[in-house]
Amino acid sequence: MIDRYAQTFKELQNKKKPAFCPFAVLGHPNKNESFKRIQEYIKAGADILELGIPFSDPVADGPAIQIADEEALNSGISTRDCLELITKIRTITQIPIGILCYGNIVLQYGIKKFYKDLKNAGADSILIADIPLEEIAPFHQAAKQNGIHQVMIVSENTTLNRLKKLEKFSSGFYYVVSTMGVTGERKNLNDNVKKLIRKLQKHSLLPLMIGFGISTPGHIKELQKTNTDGLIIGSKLVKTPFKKLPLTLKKFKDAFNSN
Amino acid sequence: MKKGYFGNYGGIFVNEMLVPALQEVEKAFAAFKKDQQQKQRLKDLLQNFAGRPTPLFYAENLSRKFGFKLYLKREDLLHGGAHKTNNALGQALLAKYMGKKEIIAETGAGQHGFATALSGALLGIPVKIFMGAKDVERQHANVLRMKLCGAEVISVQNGSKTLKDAINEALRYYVAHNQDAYYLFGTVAGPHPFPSIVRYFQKVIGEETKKQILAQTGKLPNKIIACVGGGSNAIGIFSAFIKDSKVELIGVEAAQGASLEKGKPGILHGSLSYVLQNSDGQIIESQSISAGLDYPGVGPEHSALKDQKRASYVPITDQEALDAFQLLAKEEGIIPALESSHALAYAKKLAGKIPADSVVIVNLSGRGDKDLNQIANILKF
Repeated sequence: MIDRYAQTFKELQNKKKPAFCPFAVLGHPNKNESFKRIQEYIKAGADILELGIPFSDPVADGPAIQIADEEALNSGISTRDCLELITKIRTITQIPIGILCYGNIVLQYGIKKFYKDLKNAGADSILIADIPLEEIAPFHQAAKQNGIHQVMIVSENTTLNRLKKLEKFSSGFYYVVSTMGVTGERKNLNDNVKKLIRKLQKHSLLPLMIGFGISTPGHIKELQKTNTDGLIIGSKLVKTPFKKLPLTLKKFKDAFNSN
Repeated sequence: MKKGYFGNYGGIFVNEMLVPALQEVEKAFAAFKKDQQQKQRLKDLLQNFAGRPTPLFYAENLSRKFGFKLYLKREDLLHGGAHKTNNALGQALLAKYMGKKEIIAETGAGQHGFATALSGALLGIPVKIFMGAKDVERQHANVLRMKLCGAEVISVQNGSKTLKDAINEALRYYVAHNQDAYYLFGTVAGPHPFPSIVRYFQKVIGEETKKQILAQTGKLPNKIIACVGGGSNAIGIFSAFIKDSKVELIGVEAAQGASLEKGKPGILHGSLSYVLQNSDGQIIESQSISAGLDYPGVGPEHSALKDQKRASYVPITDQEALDAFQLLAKEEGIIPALESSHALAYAKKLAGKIPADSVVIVNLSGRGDKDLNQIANILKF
């Protein structure tokens, strides 16, 4: 069985480029339009996709994604709809698909059933925003049984001791939080991020993808120097109206291609 | 039993980023509990600043009307106007003990916000309160109280603009500022160690009540009734009696915020507990005339008590609460908070249904000054 992440990271490492990983909320603004938006991501040359399942109380997300979640839910999107969307996306691309979601969604679906259906839909990884190491065991077990990577967050707060413990329950890649707080655009990406990345590259075996706060091509150029394996762009793209999406995506992709 | 759990409920369901901060609080709390100086300071503040012990009042007029012996635990007489001050003072001392530079808190009815603001003023720590925009409107007097004590009140515009949204926003802030900020959680919900910490500071209610009822009647009560939003005043009074199996414990929820009656186990705001949700696990907005009970979740210990059948949980409608509110004012000259009115409304339902020598204690968790504007509009005074 191919590990899409391992394959993609390897290819990009050979090209000495980080993965261009745009994020979308599944079902935003509604099921059909959501598919069209994600299709643009693929057309624009995304290397990896991060897709969020909308939740009524997204405590790890800032205003842009909160609003997108609300719109998606108001359009009547369900967990099953999200899985159907993933299945549909899988028919038009072979790039890795990672899911971002909240614990209660997985719990209510049924943990074992969720991971099974997620695998069948064609997803490769999942990050559950409100499940830390202390509560991850049943989720991690289901992930392992179904060949899904369970992705964990690392931040400026993660000690080496904690990293050692996380290593046992993480796979695929680490989601590196580039700033303390919730998702959202930032003016300056702080120096702590770069320090954090160096520390992780020294002590960890997993690839690193940076998320939160990346909102301009300038940020991309800055972070390329840190030699991470991927950069996730969320809020900026989620906010972009459909008409302007192709151009915005092109600007980001160009930044990834430049050296 | 797994740490941070009450039976099958509780836990620490937060972003990885927040875990170190919560572990720090847990560690400091353990040390604080052993520190004699801190304990004495808290005792002193509770007595000379806040006005403890609060009375246990035999409501003779209502007792005659209901046909059983009704006692009211007067948390409405506590400084600040509600039981919230017990917890706010305790945790503010803990925040100071930890050297934190700022205290943040969520608030529904504004009582916890006010209790936190006044504690911050007393101990010299700046305070930020997150409050849903809808609650800012309907509990405006408390917003003024908080500001007068020097707190910054942040009106939360997202979602249903009530307590759950205030908690979401406070949690977001806490993730970004947890090195310097102390999150003073107002109820027995949230991630571990919050439910345990709040329980610790609220158990004084039950401890006093037990001494008082024994002194006044010579025996333990038959029933204890308390309103349940997040559940702190109920846990506060229940805690001293949990091991007394003959004492019936009854929690009263707002009919349209009845997490224990109508919800199912789910993860919200850091803990696994009963929560109002749809089949996908999306959280359903609660509704209540009383801001403090307008919460789709509930503290994990209540979920455990329900499953263990140690406590039972009943719903009361807005109208029933309003009726009880007016009844207490007219019959005993006490104006209760709308939240506490729910507990009294259930006691009213027992009228004529239990033996005449039954001793029933209602926890009067707060007073109703904050509700007067709302009441005036509804009753067209």
